[in-house]
Amino acid sequence: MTTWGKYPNYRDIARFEYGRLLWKNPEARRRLLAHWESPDHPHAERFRENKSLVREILESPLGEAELDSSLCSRALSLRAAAREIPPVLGSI
Amino acid sequence: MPRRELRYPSQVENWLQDWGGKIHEPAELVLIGSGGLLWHAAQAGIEIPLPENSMDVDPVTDSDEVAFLGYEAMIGSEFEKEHGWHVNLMPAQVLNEMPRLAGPRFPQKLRPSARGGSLYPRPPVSQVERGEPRDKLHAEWATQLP
Repeated sequence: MTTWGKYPNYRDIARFEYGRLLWKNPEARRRLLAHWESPDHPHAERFRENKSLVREILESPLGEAELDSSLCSRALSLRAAAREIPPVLGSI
Repeated sequence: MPRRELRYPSQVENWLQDWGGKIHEPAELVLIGSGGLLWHAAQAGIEIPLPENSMDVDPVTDSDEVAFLGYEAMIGSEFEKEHGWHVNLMPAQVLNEMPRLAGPRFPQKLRPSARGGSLYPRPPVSQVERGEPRDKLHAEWATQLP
């Protein structure tokens, strides 16, 4: 069984992969945060509740398996945490 | 009024030329499905439309610059309003699950950039094994490519 399970959700994986890639760029990170925290974003409230978790998985230097293992030790999983990365609606 | 939806090879060619001019570092992307077929048709000078329109392109990239452009071109973006179709970034994992169309029939091509970056589209990935009627139509259409 992989980190993403038997039936991977490509949208979740894409938000995680490209979110991590863009998070390394300060300007992209700033714009992502502004987009997700905007009152116009339908997931803004949920993002505020899970912001520390989202930041953790986007900033983590760990690989997918290690990160998943770390999250599992806290009764979380990468599969579930990635679901909390808000989508980009329109553009950033 | 721009053409609504994606159907002609020149639409993908023009889009990649545009993005090639916006990046500063060499970058690669893989186009999955109809977007890749259209790009290769454009390289062969073919401007025959796909049998069915597409609403998006599905690229995979490891370039943050290209990913950033992709995030500016998602569904509901100004890019979509302008072009009539959008960009749907896909995770690299999908490449393990689809056959890569490779070989001399699908050569790579360097795209020079006005700012010194380059965009290197890689051989596209076929969706024919997904088996949807549209995939089969597009695979049949692709047999016209040299």
